[in-house]
Amino acid sequence: MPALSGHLKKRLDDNRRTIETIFRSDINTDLICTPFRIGEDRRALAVCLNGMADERKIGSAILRPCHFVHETPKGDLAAFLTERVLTTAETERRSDLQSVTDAISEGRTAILIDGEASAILCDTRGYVSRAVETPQNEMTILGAKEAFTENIRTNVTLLRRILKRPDFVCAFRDAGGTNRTKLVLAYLDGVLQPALLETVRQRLDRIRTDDALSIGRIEQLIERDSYLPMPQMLKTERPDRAARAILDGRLVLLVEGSPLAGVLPITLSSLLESGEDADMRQPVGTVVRIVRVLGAGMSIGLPAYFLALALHHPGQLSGEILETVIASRAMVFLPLSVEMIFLLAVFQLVREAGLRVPGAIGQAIGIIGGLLLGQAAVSANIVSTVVLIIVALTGLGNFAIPDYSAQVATAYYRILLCLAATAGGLLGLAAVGLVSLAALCAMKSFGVPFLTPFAPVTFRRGGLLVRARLQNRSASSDWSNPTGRDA
Amino acid sequence: MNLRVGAFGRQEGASAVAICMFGGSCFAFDSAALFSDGNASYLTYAIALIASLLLFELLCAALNKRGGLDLSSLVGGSVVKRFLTVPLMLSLLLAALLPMQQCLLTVTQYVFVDAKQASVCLYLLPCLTLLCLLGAEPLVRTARILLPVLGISILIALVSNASQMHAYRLFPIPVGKPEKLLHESASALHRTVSPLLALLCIGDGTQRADAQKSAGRIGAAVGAIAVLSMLLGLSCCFSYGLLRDMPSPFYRLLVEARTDSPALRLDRAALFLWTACSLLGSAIEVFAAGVLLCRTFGVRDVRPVVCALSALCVSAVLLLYRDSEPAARTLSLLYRYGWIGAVVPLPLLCIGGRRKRVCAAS
Amino acid sequence: MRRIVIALCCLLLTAGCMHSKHLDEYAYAVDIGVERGTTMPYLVTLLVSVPGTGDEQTTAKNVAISAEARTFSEAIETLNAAYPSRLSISRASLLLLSESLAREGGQSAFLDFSFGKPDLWPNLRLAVASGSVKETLEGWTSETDPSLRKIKTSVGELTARSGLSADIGYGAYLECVREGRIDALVAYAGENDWSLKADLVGDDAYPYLGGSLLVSSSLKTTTAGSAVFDGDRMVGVLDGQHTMAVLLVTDAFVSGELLFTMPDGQPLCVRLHRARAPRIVLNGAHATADVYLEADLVSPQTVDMTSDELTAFLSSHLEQLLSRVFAALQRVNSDAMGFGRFAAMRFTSAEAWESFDAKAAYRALTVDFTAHVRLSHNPRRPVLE
Repeated sequence: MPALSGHLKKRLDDNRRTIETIFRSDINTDLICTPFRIGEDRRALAVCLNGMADERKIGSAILRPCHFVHETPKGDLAAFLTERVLTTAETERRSDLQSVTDAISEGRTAILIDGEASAILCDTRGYVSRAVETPQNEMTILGAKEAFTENIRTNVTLLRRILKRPDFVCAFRDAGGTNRTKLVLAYLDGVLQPALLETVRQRLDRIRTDDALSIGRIEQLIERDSYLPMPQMLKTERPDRAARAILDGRLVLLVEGSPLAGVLPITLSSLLESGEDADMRQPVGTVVRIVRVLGAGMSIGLPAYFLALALHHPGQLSGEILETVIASRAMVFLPLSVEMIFLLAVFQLVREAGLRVPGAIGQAIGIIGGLLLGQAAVSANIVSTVVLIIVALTGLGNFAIPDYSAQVATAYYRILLCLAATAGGLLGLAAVGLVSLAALCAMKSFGVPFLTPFAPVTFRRGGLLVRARLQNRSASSDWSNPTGRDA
Repeated sequence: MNLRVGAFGRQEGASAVAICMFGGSCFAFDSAALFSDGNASYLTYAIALIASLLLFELLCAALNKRGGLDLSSLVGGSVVKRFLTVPLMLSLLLAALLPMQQCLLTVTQYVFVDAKQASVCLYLLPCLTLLCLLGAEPLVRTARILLPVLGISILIALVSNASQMHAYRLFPIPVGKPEKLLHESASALHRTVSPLLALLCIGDGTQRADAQKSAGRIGAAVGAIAVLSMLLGLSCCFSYGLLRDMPSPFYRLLVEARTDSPALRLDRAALFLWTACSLLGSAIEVFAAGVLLCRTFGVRDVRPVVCALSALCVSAVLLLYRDSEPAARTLSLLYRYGWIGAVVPLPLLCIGGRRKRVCAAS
Repeated sequence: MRRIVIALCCLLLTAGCMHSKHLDEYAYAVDIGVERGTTMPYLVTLLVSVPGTGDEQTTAKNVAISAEARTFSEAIETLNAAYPSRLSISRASLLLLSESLAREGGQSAFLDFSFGKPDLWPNLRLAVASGSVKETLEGWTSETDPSLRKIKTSVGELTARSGLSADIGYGAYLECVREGRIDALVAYAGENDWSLKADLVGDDAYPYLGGSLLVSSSLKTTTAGSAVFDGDRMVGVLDGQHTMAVLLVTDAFVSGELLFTMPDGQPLCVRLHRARAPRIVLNGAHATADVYLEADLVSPQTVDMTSDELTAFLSSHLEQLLSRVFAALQRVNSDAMGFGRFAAMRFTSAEAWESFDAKAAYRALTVDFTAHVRLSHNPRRPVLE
């Protein structure tokens, strides 16, 4: 097998043989090698992958113009073709095998010329990809309705339509490993903290696996503290949200084949913000945030707190609540802790079933699962109404969290706290809660402490609860530590 | 060296000092001794605090002269001074274990009556160890987050008891015996100086001498406000005759204002919040003792040291809980004379030493 | 390192449950009653709340269960053995003592700091029953409303808020007994028998006394007036209006109605409100007590007096009322008005205070009462007055 670190040779037949061997053309029948002549005597070969390259572009931009060349110049033929003949928008000359094979794999066409030890790489990409659609998981009312797709070029275009600044940089690179998945680092040059960029680059350089196929996997490969459930990168399918993060002095990662952008660094307040928070008026935005934070807190702490009181500290419940709970559990045979954990597991099950079942049926399952199953469980004395209401409130609070990864992470904390409350009441809850809080304080998202701006305290441009007034000036969050001029 | 001190700011340092002060002062005192002869707890605490701050300023000046940020800079190469740090470490461990011992007492007497003390300790031990293993940076950040919550809970406890607070319960104020006041102030000194000592042990995390100094001052002030207001509130709610027979009087303060309102009663939630804050304070002190030991004796990794110290602390808590005469006597002696280990070596450490620049340890 | 962390986490979670018991496995006592037993020293009655199942067939109700024993805790254990669920007294809001037990001071044997530890509320309210404790407790049950807690609590609190009864928790009671500075005033209750009884002051057989209210309702037990204590022994009762006088001085008064007799013999009903805290100054064996009130005329709406005359009349009668009540309390050696609170202020050591005989000082005390009344509603008052 020829080494990819090698270079092209002058003989066309040698190069053809090399490329056919690399691409296993005896098995891969979609490697197309089209021989043609330039002028009277120069043989050439156009190499592309069927389905990845657009054959019409090859015909109109490469083959047809070359057929009309009658006389080949005495000098550099490749330069002549590049400057005067070929009509593709993007061309480059490369002589190393690695670049040529990468280009062919991406859908570009490599033109090999007999007597030239380099290839002309023309952009003839024309593979089928999904059109820009509305976001599936980040619904908003006031915000934009476009979402990223799997095509990295399209995603870069979506960002460039919003950020029309010359210092907006999209640095293409490989994700790592031998698969060479394309990855883009999008940021504002001169604003993004150079140390952050360098850190991310170094961590990307250390990727050796071929499994770096999506933003989620890349996140796990480059983050620290991967044992913690909280994400250290925000994944969004909204270009406007990604653009806002870039303006804030942060870095956005785009991966070929992944319809999500990874925003880093992030903090807890980033995970609790939605894409349309900035589009709302300040008082309204503040109320929405308060509701969201209360929902998140309730989703993590309410089941555990109830279990702690009901099992170990019933004296803390008022008389009316106590009598209601006792009356509702009169015929229930499951112990309270098992009942609660069972219902939380059912909630997760209904949620997963709703995600996997397609279309309208999936939505219906969520409703049916919630209503009928809950009602049936109460009638069958498997669960009590009070616990059902608590789990329903927990679920609603969970869905108020805008970020999907954070929603799933709260399920982990919820169960952990429930177990702690069952075992040790408020003492267990306090102990596990304290350690969890300290672990969150220890967590950093690419150098930024996760609980910024609470600990450490920084200048806040908006807090967790109160949405800052939109200021009529350019400014970034203090903790993203932008450099140089303001964003 | 893997000392896991990290970097933190002034606010976080101050919060750590305030929380250690709260945990040590509101949980760890001997009611029978403190209120045996009238109630001057708030006076003696204020005197102890002033003395602690003077000692802190002295230490900061000595550190500034040496060009260092943490206590181990005062040791230099002296073998004698190395062993002078041993009582300091023990004093920090004592400051860590006394609040935990009182928490154990409160929890087993008032909350989990049927539980064995060992069961409760099995919650304290992993929590303390895991906190210490995380390092100074997360600990002080956690303190920063918990401090406002603690402040609100203290305010609620005081406001809800306001109708039952009467100034007449402060009397008689025992100012007629100054020697007793001094003795009590000295006992309280251990509770006020230990948090500042802990800050000085991990002081290089603040990265600047002025930040360390102001963190200590602000933390002491905030902690003092919290503790003094609690002590005054307690003194106005209960007279000294009741207080001297009352285990865990601060928990009684929470419970005193309970009513059967339709809302949930929050006294136990507040108790466990205070317990968590106290545990955090203990973790900071254990960690500080570990760092001091590592720096003084050249141990490279702080993690096994803090694991060992945590286990030592919790074992001591369990041993001191025993309902026996020797245990009760030991505990009483520790409360009264624990300050000697904290206060006596410090001026000796400040003596002598050449001026030299020391780079902040990683 | 990771293994150590995981081991520690598992240690935490397997540390053992703190002996949890589901809240529906308990039966909760809402009231506790203690009186002298016939066979054993104590008869303890618990009013236990039996919750319904949430459907229409069964509703919540309260049942009284009693046991005789040598000590209070033995009685609770006896009841536990006899009752299907485990009894919990942590939610009890009232401790009812019989008058006979209170007069002997028999409650001191169990009513100390360890009473009901750890769950029992320190502000568990105290009351004294004039007759049988068991019947008094049962007199607070009603078939019409199963939520007894609300009914009884509102009865007790409302009565205290009307100024006709005292409201004291057992924490405050313990302070009175242990410290010896002041004496307790405890709510007085009884099964209503429509009979009028005289109180300690003895000047008026007024019906505002527990068990003596001229009321017929579904609740047989009524609460009004207060039991006066000297240390841990009950020494007398005060009816509602005299209790109000004591509350005026102890600053526990909020608002209430007092009945006066005008010079022409007509009754005058006045609603009083606390204007500010009373001011008490203790100077050795003499004290001055100033109370500050606002008054509204209730009935009749108009009187043939100017505001100044009416104000002077009300002040004078209030001062006389306060003096009479103080004299009655002094006779039975009960410092229910709380003058002893200020006695410790002149001491600078606990030894000096503890060797001071507060009771002897109280017996020698003379008090000048001054009532500052501001009339806020008098239809006869000229606009420009």
